[in-house]
Amino acid sequence: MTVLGIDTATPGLGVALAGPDGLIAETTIHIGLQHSQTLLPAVEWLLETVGSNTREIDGVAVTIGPGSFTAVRIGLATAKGICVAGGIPLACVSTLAASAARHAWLSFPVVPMLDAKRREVYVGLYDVSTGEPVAVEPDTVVSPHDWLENHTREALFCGDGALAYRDLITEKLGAKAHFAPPWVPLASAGVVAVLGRQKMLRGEIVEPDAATPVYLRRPQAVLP
Amino acid sequence: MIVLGIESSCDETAAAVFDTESGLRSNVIASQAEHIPFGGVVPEMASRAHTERIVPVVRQALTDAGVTLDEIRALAVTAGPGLIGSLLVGVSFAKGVAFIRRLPLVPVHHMEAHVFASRIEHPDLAPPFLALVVSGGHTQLIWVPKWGTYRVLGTTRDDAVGEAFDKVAKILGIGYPGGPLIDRLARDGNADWVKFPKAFIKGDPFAFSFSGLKTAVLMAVEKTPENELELRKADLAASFQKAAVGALVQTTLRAARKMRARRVVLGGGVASNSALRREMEAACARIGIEVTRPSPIFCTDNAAMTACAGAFWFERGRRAGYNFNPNPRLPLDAFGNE
Repeated sequence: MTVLGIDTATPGLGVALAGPDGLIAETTIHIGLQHSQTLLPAVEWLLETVGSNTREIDGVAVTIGPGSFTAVRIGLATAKGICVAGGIPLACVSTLAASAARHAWLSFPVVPMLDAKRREVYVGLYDVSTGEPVAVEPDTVVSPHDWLENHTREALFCGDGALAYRDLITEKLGAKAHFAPPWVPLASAGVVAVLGRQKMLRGEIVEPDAATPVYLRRPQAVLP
Repeated sequence: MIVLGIESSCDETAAAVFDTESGLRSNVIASQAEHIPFGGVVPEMASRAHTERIVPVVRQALTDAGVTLDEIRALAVTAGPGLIGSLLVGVSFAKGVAFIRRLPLVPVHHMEAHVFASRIEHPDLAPPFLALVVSGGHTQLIWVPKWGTYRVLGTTRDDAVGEAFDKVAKILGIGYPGGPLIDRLARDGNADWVKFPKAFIKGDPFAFSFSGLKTAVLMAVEKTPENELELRKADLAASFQKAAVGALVQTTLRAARKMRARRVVLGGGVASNSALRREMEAACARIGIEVTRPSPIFCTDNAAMTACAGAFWFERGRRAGYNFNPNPRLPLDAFGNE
């Protein structure tokens, strides 16, 4: 079973293919939010490069948020189209869980942070000590200042929110704060493809009809 | 040749199946009622609703048409203009379907689709004609010398006419969307109760402007004694509608004379307005011009018109690649003329 992984939730675009032996191929492109133009050309290139084609895709795994609303929808709507028209299963993975999973086996928690604008971050707290990302707290959206008031343990910070608020995090946590190296990409399509494939094998499949992003924020709208 | 059309430019999630031999096979429109309390379309809410409804709507369109994707030869999708977040849901979904099924993807301009809407029920409709496309987002006079070739003669300088209906309905406190509500209320009103001004733009004979009219309604409401206002709402609605429709009809006739048009084709949500239909038909009849107008279900945003225009362009080779991106301000000639 070959699974196509898609991550469009961050300013990084990620596409990947995973099979029985794990990751087959992964591409990450960090050129800002141009996912609508780059997503399917990247998938097409990836398939061609590994000598495969669309008929060999047996399922799609996609990041479901949190992240840029529009960007998450580009990935999810594309995945819905592929799954409905291809008659193949869909699996959804939290953007933050996928980001944390890149640091498997770490003995202290991983804190994926995405810049949510408006001086807030999408943030999660994940235990990865067993090799799999396990959410210690639910993903949330909060000001980094408030989050750091309540979290003082040693942790590894990753994501563009961790970069944006690095000074604040260092100021609050000092040597207890570690940061993911710059070669760890924002997009996590490889993780998504592998985790999504595992989910499918466990039967954790989402109906494309009902699949909806994890926004964590209500739309900005004011009743008259 | 069977085309699946997908439309998500504003607050309607729509899909339709159009057959170039037998005509329209299905037409599914999911309107988003969640905007009503806000008195207007909330873009982020629209994008969210499209994401949730796109799959059920497309499935329904296929079921209603009695076809499967195996019989679909091409996908037509609205490329713009519209709300970017909304457009992206329809386009991304369509691209996913096209990609996995190796189907050609045909981008369609939303205004062009409103012009094609009349062709669904009138397959023999033949240019040249003058099209007036009027909706909550658009007010355009388009000269169509042949199918697939467009020349925009006039557009609005400020509010779209449907937007003016919405804003006046808000001023009168009668709800949203304003078009059908004002149309209904105006039937019981005296259209000559207030003489509202019709704006014409100097040096641009085919341009429209509705923002001054909206302000004039607001001033008339403020001048009306509070205890009389409830009684006068129908008169205010009728007077406003007369001025708005009058501006549309007069400018359309001026353009029709200039272009020596023999036919006017209406499109867009406001084309359902009973006063516009009546006045346009009467005025055109006086000078021997015929009027073609789609049924109301093809006036509102729908994918039948997208699929109909898409079928036309599919046969002429218009295609979009997987790198294709919708454009919220897409010009009418973006994909070239026929």
